Amino acid sequence: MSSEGEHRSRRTSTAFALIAGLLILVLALVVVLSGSPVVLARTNGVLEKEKFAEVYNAAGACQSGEVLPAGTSAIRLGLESGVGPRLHVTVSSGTHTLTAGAVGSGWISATVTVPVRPVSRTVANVRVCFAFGRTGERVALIGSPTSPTVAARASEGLALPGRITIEYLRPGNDSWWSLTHDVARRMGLGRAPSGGWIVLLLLAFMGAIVTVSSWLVLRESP
Amino acid sequence: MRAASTDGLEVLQQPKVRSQPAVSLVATVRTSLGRIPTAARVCALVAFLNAVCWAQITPPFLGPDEADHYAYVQELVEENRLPSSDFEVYSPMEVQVLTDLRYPQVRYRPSKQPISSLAEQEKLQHDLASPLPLGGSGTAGVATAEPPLYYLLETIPYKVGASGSVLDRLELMRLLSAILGGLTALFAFLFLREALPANRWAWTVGGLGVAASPMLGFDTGALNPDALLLVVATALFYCLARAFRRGLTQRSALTIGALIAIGFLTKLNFIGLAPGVILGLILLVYREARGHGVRAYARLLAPVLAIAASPGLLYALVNAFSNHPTLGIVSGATTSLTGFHRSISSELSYIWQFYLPRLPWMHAYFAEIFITRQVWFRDVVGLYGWTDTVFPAWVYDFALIPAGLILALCARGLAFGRVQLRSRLGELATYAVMSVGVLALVGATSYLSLPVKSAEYVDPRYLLPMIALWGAVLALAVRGAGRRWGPPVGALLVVLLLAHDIFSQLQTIARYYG
Repeated sequence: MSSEGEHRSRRTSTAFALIAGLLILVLALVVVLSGSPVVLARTNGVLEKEKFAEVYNAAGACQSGEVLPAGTSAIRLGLESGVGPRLHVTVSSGTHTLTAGAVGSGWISATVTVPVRPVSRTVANVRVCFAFGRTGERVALIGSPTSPTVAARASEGLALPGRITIEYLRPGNDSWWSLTHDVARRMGLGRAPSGGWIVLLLLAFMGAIVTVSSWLVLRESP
Repeated sequence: MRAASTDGLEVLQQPKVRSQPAVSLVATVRTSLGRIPTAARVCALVAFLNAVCWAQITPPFLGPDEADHYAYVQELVEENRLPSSDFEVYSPMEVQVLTDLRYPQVRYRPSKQPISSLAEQEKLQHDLASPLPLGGSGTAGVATAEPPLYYLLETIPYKVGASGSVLDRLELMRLLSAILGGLTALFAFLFLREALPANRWAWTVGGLGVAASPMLGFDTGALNPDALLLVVATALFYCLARAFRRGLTQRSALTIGALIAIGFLTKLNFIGLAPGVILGLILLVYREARGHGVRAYARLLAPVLAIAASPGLLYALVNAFSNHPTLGIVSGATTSLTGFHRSISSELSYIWQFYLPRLPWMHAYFAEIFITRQVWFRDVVGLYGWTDTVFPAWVYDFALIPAGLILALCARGLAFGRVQLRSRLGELATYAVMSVGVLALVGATSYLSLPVKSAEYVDPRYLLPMIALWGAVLALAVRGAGRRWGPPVGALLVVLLLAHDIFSQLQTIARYYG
């Protein structure tokens, strides 16, 4: 093939790769935005007031008197850690385990979300237990102080000084598309300048980024 | 230079042409800007727009430590002094705005969102218009220990927005950071042009990869001294690459010295980069000395080191005369190192394990965790907000595939150029020491948080000073794809990186507004 032909062939393959990549990107966006966000099914009503206890090295705790809503796909616990240990959560009613889930080590921040198998019906008065893997890190339990009778209990049965905040999450019914207006409205609040038009600005800027990047790729391609 | 001095002489003789030096300066700047390749300018534009997008997505004050950085600038403008306490006790106006924005509830807690009702917005507007004091707290939280240069720059947009509200000022200050983000991408492109001169296409892919980096956008879309630190760090990579390729002139040596001084005046983390830069300078001067004799040391190295060390000396002098520890918080770090039964060997062991799997003879600081994969890889792929915004777990597993392919292609690209690599070992050692310095500094700082926390500074933005090298990895990957496949692979890489940015933004939008 001549040098000119080779050059043309490379430019064609670049354009093809770029267009194919952008089409896949658009497709991925459509798929993701057609999905539903995870929504809050229920909280246990315990406010995130303070870190009331700290655990260290392969400890765990249980909290009774919880309600597990139907369809719960994840449980969010008020736990704080720098590099959190492996965490295993079980939800049981009496001796029967209703659902369970785990997250690996390395979680951070002041909450940890554990995916669990959804249950078909709401079950009241369940016990949520969580057990940590071995770690060099302390894990703080976040929630509210309570009397020992209703407090969470450590693995050894000892009453802790409070209950931790637990949130039960499930997939929402609405797609992201149907929530667009609401998200745009919220994005426009609490900032300067304010207003939902900010989303249009954002779309314009992101569109400009993709456009000029694509133009540059085609221009500079060998 | 000759033209400039001629103009200067004419000024003395002919008052009528007094504006000529200014015109000359403008012309010089215009010529210099004109020499910047279009691709570099486009990369700068992309990085700037990306940072502006992130500034719109991240709610006010929810950038990293943004409330502290704002308090620092506010103290400089309103009280004409540096903050003196690291408490998070802000001015009454800032406290009110933070409360209205639900800042204390939202940070670190992905289940909590910023204000979402019109009633809350109206309360915020009312409080923004109230005559609450703007300064006077004397505190700036974690920002207090930082040098003042970035904050002094940020006083400009603060004053420009003086007639507006706290949120107007913050928005303008974020815009300045976004401009610095653009400059970072510009220097990254120029670095790639010097470091990989034979492959023009690779500069574009690497430059766009840096510009569209979501972590760069997130960090420079906020009020944070990282923005200036990144410009300085990337400019240093560029200047060193240029000097290694074209030789060290007095002008380029002084530029490097000035950048080191600016770095020291910008953020303490710059200390991590400094040893590598000094090593690079020594190697460059040694090379010059072989050709021009030992006088090159005095001509090139001495003035650079004098300029570079001046901020540190000034800092020590100010501390000495104001009854503070001579080395400021560095003194405190030294004290901490000697307390709590710590040792250099245990610190080195900790720093190793902070990034890499433990070696058999090491004491375990992190049990049951592959920290490189489970923490750092995850963080680099996506960790935003107050370390509270992450992708679903499967994304991090999936990301191993493109990351592995990029690294494999990069290794192939390095293998292609192994002959050239041998002749550039000094340059590579310089970049390696700069990188190890940054990593060691972050690890060492985290080590000081033991035993309360096993790892306090696990945050990918601390690694951003090495973002020029990320551009180099991408550029080498394109080279590694070969002559035939390099162009389409480069195009796909650009789309992949744009996709990474877009989905990172969507994830952040979902976290705050979903």
